[in-house]
Amino acid sequence: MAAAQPPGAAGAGCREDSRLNLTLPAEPASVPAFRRQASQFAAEQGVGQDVVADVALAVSEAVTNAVKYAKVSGAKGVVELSAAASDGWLEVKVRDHGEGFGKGSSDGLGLGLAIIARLCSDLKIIQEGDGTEVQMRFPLSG
Amino acid sequence: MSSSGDPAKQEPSWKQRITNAEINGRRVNEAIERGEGNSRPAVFVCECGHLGCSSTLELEIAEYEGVRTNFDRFLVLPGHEIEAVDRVVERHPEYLVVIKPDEEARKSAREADERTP
Repeated sequence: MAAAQPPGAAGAGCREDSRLNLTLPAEPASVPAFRRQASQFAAEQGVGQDVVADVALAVSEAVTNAVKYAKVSGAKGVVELSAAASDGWLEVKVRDHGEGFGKGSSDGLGLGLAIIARLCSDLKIIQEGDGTEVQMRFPLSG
Repeated sequence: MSSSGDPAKQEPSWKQRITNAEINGRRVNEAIERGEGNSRPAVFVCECGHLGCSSTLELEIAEYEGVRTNFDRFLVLPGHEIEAVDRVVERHPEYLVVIKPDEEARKSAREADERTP
């Protein structure tokens, strides 16, 4: 296992051959680090450039939403990303610990999620406990 | 497309990709509705299968519930219906309701619908 600390970001991460875990502050500066790490991980799994681009954009949108929820709720929390490749799919999960969307700010949230809905093959949005988890699947063969 | 027999390793057909986009759009709207509760209008996303669409529209929760009376009904903006995969069953000034005549698409929609037992 090799550390995957993104330059310029205070957080924690680890990477194995087929798994990536990354936790960073819920702030706008973290978005590029999440995008870079996720797209690099996707490329390492052998997916095509189109899918790498889809992963990068979807992760950017999901993390941006997570940062926005944290700002709305006033929480100074973290955003967690995990990614894994198995059974022909690349699964990426983005979790925040904010109040959840629809609680006081809907500007642009639907737009970001609408973009994600078009980019991935399968999308699930889990709203249990504190925060929201966005689960996205992309085809490894795409 | 791979010739492998494993569907998970094959590139989705264009019809399946459209169905996936529509199902994902509906999951977004279900999450938006859960977040909003019943107190006010909410901004929902167009559930059409156009891969570049990120349109939204504002609906009362009751109107959205009127769309979601069955697993195969999808909310799309006028002009966003896709003739090859959608059939328009309701026309409203701000939106349409479409269903999926294709059996495979209906099966996918049923399996993905959190409201269907």
